[in-house]
Amino acid sequence: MTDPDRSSGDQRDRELIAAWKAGDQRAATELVERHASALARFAASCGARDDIDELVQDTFVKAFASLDGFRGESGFRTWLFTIERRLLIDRLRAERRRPQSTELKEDAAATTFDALDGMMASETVMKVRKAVDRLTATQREVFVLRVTEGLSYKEIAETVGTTEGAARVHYHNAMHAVKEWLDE
Amino acid sequence: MSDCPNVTMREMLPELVNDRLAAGARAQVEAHIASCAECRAERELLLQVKGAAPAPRVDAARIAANIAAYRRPSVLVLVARSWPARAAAAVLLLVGANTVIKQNAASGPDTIVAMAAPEVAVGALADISEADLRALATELGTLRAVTSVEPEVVVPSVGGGARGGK
Repeated sequence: MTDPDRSSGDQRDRELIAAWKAGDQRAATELVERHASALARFAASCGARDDIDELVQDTFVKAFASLDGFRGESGFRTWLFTIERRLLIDRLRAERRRPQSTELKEDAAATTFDALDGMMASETVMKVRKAVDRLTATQREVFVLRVTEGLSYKEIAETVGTTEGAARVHYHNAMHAVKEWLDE
Repeated sequence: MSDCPNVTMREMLPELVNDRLAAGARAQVEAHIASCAECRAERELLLQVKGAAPAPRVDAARIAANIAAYRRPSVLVLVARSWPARAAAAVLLLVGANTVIKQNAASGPDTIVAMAAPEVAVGALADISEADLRALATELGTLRAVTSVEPEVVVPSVGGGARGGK
């Protein structure tokens, strides 16, 4: 039922990984170009702030350093999301431990937007963003991966470390909440 | 905004807005949407959420430049990662743990006391002379065994004082 392009995309990733292992550094560049934007979007939606570029870079560096451990059971992008999510959680925990940092609540990993971004975004966009920000951290992760990245429940479950059933429930709860808040 | 009761169609909406449906499924969902106001509204919402997602810029070229060239793992690492090596390590660990547990059980606290007790006893008796031992045995022979541990009944007397007796 899903697009054959998705499996051809996965196939292309595998070819590039094989090429990189064979010594073709340009294959690494293409892999970064294929997935960097999605990783940056996911990071921003989950609460990363100024260091998104660094976070995405760390994700790729870690991923390439452990590519021998990538068994290809999930897609390469799903695997990257999993690595990035762990790095992001570590960073948010470190921020919480820093005494000078502002206190973070569970759902305060919400994305905040700077003034310029706010001025440029339309009222509808801001309303939608605020609704997504009001979701709990887990609901937001699942919702963003499903709506923005089009991941299946199986891929989402692998990324956030839950079951397909739980991912489905989180998604539907998030959808109902967003609809309700937008209707307010 | 209410939900469409056709769960199958609703479940495919995120894939639809992300162009991740095969041609047949896509045509099916689009045909459904044409006659379903709830799904049209939900698709619109999904497109709004997708469009509202922040899109921070990343420097892909700089990131790629920081990725080191591939280094093939050494033979030792490959062997260590293989399942026979892991299975062998697990067996060795189990055998080792079992040996340690058995050794600990054989030299447990009860055994130590039991082994130490004769030495303590011999040590204590060694300080007593034979004459003292005989005297002790004689004294033990004169002792009467206590047949009852019940307290004696105390009967108060009129004339004062208390007299014990049974």
